[in-house]
Amino acid sequence: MAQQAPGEKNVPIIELRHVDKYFGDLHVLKDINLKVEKGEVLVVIGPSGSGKSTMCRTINRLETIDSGEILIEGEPLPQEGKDLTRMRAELGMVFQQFNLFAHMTILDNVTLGPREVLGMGKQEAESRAMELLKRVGVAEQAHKVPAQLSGGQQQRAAIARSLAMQPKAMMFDEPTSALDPEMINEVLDVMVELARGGMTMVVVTHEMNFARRVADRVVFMADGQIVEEGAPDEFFDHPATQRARDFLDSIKGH
Amino acid sequence: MSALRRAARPRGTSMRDALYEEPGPRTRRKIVIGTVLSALLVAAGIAAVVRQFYVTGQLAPRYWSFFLEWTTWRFLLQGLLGTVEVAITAGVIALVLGLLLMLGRTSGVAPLSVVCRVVTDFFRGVPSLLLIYFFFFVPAQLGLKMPSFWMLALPVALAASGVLAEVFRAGVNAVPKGQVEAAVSIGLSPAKIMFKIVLPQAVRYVIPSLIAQLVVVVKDTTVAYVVSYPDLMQNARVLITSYDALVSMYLVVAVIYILINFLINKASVYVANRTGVKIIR
Repeated sequence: MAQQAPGEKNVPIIELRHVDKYFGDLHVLKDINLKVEKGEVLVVIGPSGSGKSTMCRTINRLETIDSGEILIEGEPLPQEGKDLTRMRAELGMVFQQFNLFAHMTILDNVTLGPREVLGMGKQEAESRAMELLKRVGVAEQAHKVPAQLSGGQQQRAAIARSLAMQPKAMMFDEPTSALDPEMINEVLDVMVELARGGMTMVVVTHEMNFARRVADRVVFMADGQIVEEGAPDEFFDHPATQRARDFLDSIKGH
Repeated sequence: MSALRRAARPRGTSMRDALYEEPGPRTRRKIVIGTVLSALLVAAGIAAVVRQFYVTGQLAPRYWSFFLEWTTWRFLLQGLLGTVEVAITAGVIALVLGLLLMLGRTSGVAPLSVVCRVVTDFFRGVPSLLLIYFFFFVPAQLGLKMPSFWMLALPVALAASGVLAEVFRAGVNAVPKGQVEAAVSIGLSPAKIMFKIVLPQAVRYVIPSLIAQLVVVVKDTTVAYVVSYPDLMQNARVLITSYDALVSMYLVVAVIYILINFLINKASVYVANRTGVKIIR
């Protein structure tokens, strides 16, 4: 899916260079180097505590880094202020706990960003929001508050909220980990659609079938390091490292 | 964990239901016995009080007959009006000032934050009576003429603002971090995050504490006699002197204060229920 128009300069949308991060004495990200090309779907997997969520969250500076560089379309990620705010508006983020604004209706959740950040009028923002909600299949819930929706519906609404900002790329931080099993697929289906539509995506997940089906590239992390990366079929069928083989064995049979 | 399961929880599930399990047959019997015994105790207590009133002559007509006169009630109602005016003024000032102090303290601008913190702790720590004395004596010494209304309203408001700043801050801290992260991720500015996402939720969390503090404001205004502002308490004292009827008058005034605070409670629960969207977690 990583198509590149001939002659277009090949600047990755997201690039991490020698990124290190500590939580106190704990070295959670160790010399992370990563590039995400335009239109690419990158799936990050690994055991819990491997630093994959933290890495995902550094990309829009929800987590700071201690050394190294993060580049968005070749430009360094701003450290603070309006530049950072603007950059964040261009990167979508979907959370494990959905984090829909609890005091607003679903429609208001989706229109807030376009109206307050992009300066869009109420009518335009609402009609676009309804289109997005229809696309993710929760248009009927538009006037309810988040607590009235199922987890799967909330997560799909959260994806719509992110999409409403017309992001250059979207990060998904374990988007299905807080869901009841019967709701996982409805969220994954939306993500598959997005990937087919050419969205640049970084997806931290435990859904191996999704990774195999949708990923352009799989990154395997353990103990804060990128241990292995490659095409999904290659990685799942012939993992090169013992760490990856152990991990894949441990989740087999589910 | 799942939001669906949370939302499906039956309404009326309260803190009490969460803390205590449904009683079994033996516990139910104990509860009945306890209820009857305590009701008897309360009845006996009331009877003893009435008897004591009778014995000491407090039920004599001369202590109660003036309540049949319209002038008595008019004077008390004038006082009540004074109390209401001062309490509402002080309450509004305290709410605004408390909010500003909290915003300053959590602003992240170090000097402003320190100043707001010191001011908050000062007003929270100093007894309101001391603040009233301050406003009574100091402006006068500086040659400033201050109406007794403000000599009462300002110190009561300042004392409450310190507490309210902390109440608001507790509410802000109770808003889950994920709400802010989501707001940050769609590119909202810090000010918009505070006013559109955090504060609306924070205020809903702390409505019970806000009510409690407004009740304190009403009670604080009873020291109006210091600045001789004619509030309910002050007027009651005047009536006590003129009719020489201390117990009966204080009893009636106490009942009126209880009614005021009961109404504040009812009104705020009503307002809280009407603020549209409720937060269920």
